[in-house]
Amino acid sequence: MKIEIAVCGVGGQGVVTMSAVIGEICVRRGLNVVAAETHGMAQRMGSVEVFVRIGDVEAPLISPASADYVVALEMVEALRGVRYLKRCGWILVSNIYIPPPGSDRVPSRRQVIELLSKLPIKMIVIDVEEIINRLEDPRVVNMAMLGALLSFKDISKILPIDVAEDVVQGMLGSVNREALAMGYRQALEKMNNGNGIYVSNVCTYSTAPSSNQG
Amino acid sequence: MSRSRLLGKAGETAFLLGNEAIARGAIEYGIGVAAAYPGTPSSEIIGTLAQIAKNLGIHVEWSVNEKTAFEVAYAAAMSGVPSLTAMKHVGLNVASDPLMSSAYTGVKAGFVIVTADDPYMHSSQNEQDNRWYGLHAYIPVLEPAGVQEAKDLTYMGLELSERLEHPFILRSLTRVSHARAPVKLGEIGSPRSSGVFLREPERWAVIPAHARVMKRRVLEKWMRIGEMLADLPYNRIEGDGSTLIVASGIGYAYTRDAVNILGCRARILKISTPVPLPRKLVEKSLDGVEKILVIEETDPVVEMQLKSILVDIGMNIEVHGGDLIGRFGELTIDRVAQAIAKVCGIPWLPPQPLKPEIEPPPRSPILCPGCPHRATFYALKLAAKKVGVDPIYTGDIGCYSLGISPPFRVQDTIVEMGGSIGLANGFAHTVRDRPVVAILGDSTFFHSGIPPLVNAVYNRAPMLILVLDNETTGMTGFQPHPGTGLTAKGEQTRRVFIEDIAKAVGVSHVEVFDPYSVREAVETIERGLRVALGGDVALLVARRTCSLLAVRLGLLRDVYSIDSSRCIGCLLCVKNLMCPAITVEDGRPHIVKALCRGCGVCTQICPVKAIDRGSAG
Repeated sequence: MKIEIAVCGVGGQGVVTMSAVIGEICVRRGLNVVAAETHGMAQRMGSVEVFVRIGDVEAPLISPASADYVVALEMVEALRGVRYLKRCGWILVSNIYIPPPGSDRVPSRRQVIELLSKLPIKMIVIDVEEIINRLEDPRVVNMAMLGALLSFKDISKILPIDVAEDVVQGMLGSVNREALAMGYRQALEKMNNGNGIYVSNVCTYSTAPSSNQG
Repeated sequence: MSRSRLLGKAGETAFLLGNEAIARGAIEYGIGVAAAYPGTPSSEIIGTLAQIAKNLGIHVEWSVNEKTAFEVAYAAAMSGVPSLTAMKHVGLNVASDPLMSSAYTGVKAGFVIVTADDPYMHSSQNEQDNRWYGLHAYIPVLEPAGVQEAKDLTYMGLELSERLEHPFILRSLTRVSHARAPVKLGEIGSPRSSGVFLREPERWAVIPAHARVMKRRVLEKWMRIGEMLADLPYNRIEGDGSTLIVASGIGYAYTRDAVNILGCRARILKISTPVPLPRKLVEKSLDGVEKILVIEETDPVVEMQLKSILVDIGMNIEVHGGDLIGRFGELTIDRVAQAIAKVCGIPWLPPQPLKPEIEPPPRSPILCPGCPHRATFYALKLAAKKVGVDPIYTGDIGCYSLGISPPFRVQDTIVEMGGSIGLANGFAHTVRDRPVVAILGDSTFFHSGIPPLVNAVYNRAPMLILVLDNETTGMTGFQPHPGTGLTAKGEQTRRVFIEDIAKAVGVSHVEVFDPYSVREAVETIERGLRVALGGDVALLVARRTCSLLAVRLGLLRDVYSIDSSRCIGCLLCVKNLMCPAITVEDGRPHIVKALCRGCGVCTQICPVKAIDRGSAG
């Protein structure tokens, strides 16, 4: 078994914390995991990417076109992070939009989705803004997106949501646990009703691949 | 980092950062002293140990620079206290003076020098491979293949060092130090923190007569070390085949994954001691081998030693390594797989990445909102304009390196720690029609700014030195330094003032200012520039706490907003400051409430006073 997850975002969004939480869940489940982080210069609001490799793996880095999942905590960074995604892999995109300062040619929110939906991939857009507003805390983007990731069947099989909730509660407290649960539920709903889901017609996709309640 | 995670019980599995694993290995051995100067990717080793130093009763310090850190730990090991020093790769250059003699004297207790190399230069000025230092200084180098081994080899390095009375280098790198993985914990050893020093100058004083004896002894010891390392369990031969892959350190992890992807059969010689390459084991691995591929991160340290062994024993085997993998940047599974495929004659191409039709614009690191350096740079540019000069800006290592970017462009040179004042000493005597402004941070000033400052005064090198004192070591994660009045363990200590040092060494013009007061800052810098133009040395301290730290400490709370009825859309605030908290929407500036730190610098720049405290807008 091998699952490779690339997480990308903007320095300060909690990308590194997200990988630390995934790793902690893996350890709780007795799974092997290797995560690689970026520190230093890259954290000064630059692009940040973190790799998490679970299962039969040794090396810390994910090669281009090799990740099963790409989780983008920010929309413009989704365009950058998609290079790690394998053909017909899932990209999870948060609707948080932070245009890089000093650039006048930043693709708009709509353009980001258009550009990504032309690629041979599967995409789900998570309304993280709504979760932030409901919890009145802008720092929960990472946990909301982790929740969404955990709704996928092959992930939840090895990393169940209840274990994740327990780990997040212990490491980051109840607001983050709530964000996790909200991201999880939102992703399941979207999978069921198809809102915010884009699947390239070259990829196979059954209507409810993640209905994991049973 | 939670304290409990590092102090977990033996037998437990903890999800540790590579640097935490190194720290854990050190306390399992029972070190009594740890000293370092922060530098990415090494900082968390001492940062972690500092948090548990009181629990364990050991001495942990942030030293002023790597040389001093090395000496602190070295002396501990001379007095029978096991110790560890840690630094980023370029830090070992600073510590290389004592390093080169440490193999001559040897040590009494375990002494491990951790060097954290940074291939691809994620946060560094070069890509140097510090395994060369091992060959250069007759110090064995251990190289972990992952996070678990980082802990295990730290422990083993201390043990071997103590047994052989010889220093050991542990070579980590970004993808070990900043990787996280489950680590099986061992027993925490009881710390040995109290030393004894016997008067034995023939052992500790490298005067020529002693050093000649020591050198002969080192050469003899070096042979013995090489033989001994061949038997370590972390060096081994796996699998079989006529192609031999020699994989050192993290190269082994990439090799294993690549071999799995390719599904090929190969013999692997796993190496954890690249220096000296264990000859006995290499010879054993060669039986029936037709081709060799060496996988190692950065330089051909193993490859060259291996080729030399083959020549010595008269074997003519095809050896590949850097020719197939290249010598730039980090290893990846793809790079390694491609090389292995080529050597094994398997057709294989890496999967091609998906590319959106429009490339996203780069998002480079920038100065944080409210960063006091931004305010200082703005004032500096304005002051230079007012005085009518175009200075040479010699820059330095730290967050202020980001001043290289527009709109500031005030880092014309950046070479090494302390290089700002050092290079200014030279420019001052050669480029006579432009003043030199040396720009460095507070921690960097203490690290290596003082000797070149004395040199400037002594040799009459006119310059303006601008010390950007944000009262912390910002870039590496807020470590304290002598100017903060706090130790690594968070205890109060005597605070050393930069301006006092400047006055004491004879700088005639010394001033301290608050960069958040724009007018005061501009006027102070103008005065400093005039002193430099007049042929003298001026030192100014721009003192204001790092805004990230200030927010954490609750010192900055205000939020500013722009009154759209008064704003004339001149965008001076945007163009002059490039603050991430000020964005432009439909041609008008707008302050992002969640990002504004309330420094108030933009209010002082606005020509129509349209920016004020408040939450509207």
